[in-house]
Amino acid sequence: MNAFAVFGRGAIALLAEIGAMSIFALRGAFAWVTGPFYTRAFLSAALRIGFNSLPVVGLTAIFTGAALALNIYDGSLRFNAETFLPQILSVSIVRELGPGFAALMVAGRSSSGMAAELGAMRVSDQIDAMSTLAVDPYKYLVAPRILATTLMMPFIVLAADIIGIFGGWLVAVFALEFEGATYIRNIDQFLTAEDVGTGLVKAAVFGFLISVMGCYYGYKSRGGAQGVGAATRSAVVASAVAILASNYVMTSLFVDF
Amino acid sequence: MSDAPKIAIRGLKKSFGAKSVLKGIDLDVRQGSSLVVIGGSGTGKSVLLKCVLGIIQPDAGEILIDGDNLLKLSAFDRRRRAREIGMLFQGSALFDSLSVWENVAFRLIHGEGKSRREAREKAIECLAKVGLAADVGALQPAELSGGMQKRVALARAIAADPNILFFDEPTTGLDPITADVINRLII
Ligand SMILES: Nc1ncnc2c1ncn2[C@@H]1O[C@H](COP(=O)(O)OP(=O)(O)OP(=O)(O)O)[C@@H](O)[C@H]1O
Ligand SMILES: [Mg+2]
Repeated sequence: MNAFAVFGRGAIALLAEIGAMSIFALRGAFAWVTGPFYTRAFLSAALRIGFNSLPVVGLTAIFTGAALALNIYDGSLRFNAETFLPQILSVSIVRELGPGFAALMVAGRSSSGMAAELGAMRVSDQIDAMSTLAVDPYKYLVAPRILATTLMMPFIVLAADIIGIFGGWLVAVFALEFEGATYIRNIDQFLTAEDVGTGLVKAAVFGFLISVMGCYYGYKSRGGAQGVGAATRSAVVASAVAILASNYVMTSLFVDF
Repeated sequence: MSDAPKIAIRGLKKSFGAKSVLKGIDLDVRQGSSLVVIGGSGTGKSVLLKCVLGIIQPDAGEILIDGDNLLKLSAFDRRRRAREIGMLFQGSALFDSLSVWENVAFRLIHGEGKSRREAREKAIECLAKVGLAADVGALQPAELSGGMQKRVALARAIAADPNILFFDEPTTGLDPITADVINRLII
């Protein structure tokens, strides 16, 4: 087989996969409109994704903020701009690192969790059983998870932003001898609602992508424990790629000169 | 209405790759009657049921319920049709994130919009029919033995009083006495 055919086949398979995912995601959007809406399933998904992600996202954010403060200080010292540390740090976090890191952590946690849970349900006939019980498994299992993740991500990212800026503040005040109140005032005067808002829009998009990937691979998984393992792996990899790619696209749209 | 079969299957075929499993099945089931399909392991009994339920798409043939070909119905009509069918899966397929009574009441609560209290009473009633005490209802499926899981799955299949009931090996893994109770219940 020549290399051209291999490449072509791969490209076609990739496009077919993206198409199937898009249809899957559209069905998700359509399911909220047509109902029925399963409130309990939604609330439990929201609690699991939103609340239970906070510790790991918080830890990531505080260390990211702290390391970022050191790096920005060290870099900006070279042209005597170190007093701008609070501004640079806060804008980096709310626009880019808060949404990005939080989404990657949630992808590792929830996308894999959804893929494993739905995958196990699929291979043990539970999803088929649900459809014989007059409940559309798509509406009961998939739609609430997609909606919950999309709605919860902005809150998670807001928490990550605050904790990340706090991590930077700790380093700045205790290691770099900044004055705590001035640091906060600088951020307050500099940061715009747009900086924060675009980060939160990113967060919602990331949440949508994470849950679509997790549900898609879980829902379609085949072939026992091995199939569930493969679904989990694909879900995490695909959501990480989707997050980073869509992040670039959104950033280039938001940074409009 | 009376002499038309409730379920009629005509020339049903299904193969997986090169392996053909169903090779043109014809059968009729009349209203109010029972039909048992017997066959060796791996001969396609479960596949046949899954075709009728719409879980597996057959390659050829017709499946008629009350004279309507299921394979020609729209997805919406098909789903409405599926509502009159109850199914016991070979592997039980209980929802492991829900307690036993929520499993049994699943269709009543989520499919038919009954209140949780009402559905719970009905679920306990159905559990009693398959010989399980009310306190089993509060357990998780993983805490039950295989035979108990099967009985819970049976209770779940009959909870909404469907017109058509499919059982995929309802008594495998049960002791002869319980199996007898289940067989009586089915008939
Ligand atoms: N999803 C599938 N993909 C490929 N082959 C399948 C699939 N499902 C079933 N088969 C094949 O179809 C054949 C019939 O399977 P089926 O589960 O219907 O058997 P069965 O009659 O129910 O057997 P048992 O009594 O052991 O439950 C088997 O040989 C199996 O390998
Ligand atoms: Mg079988």
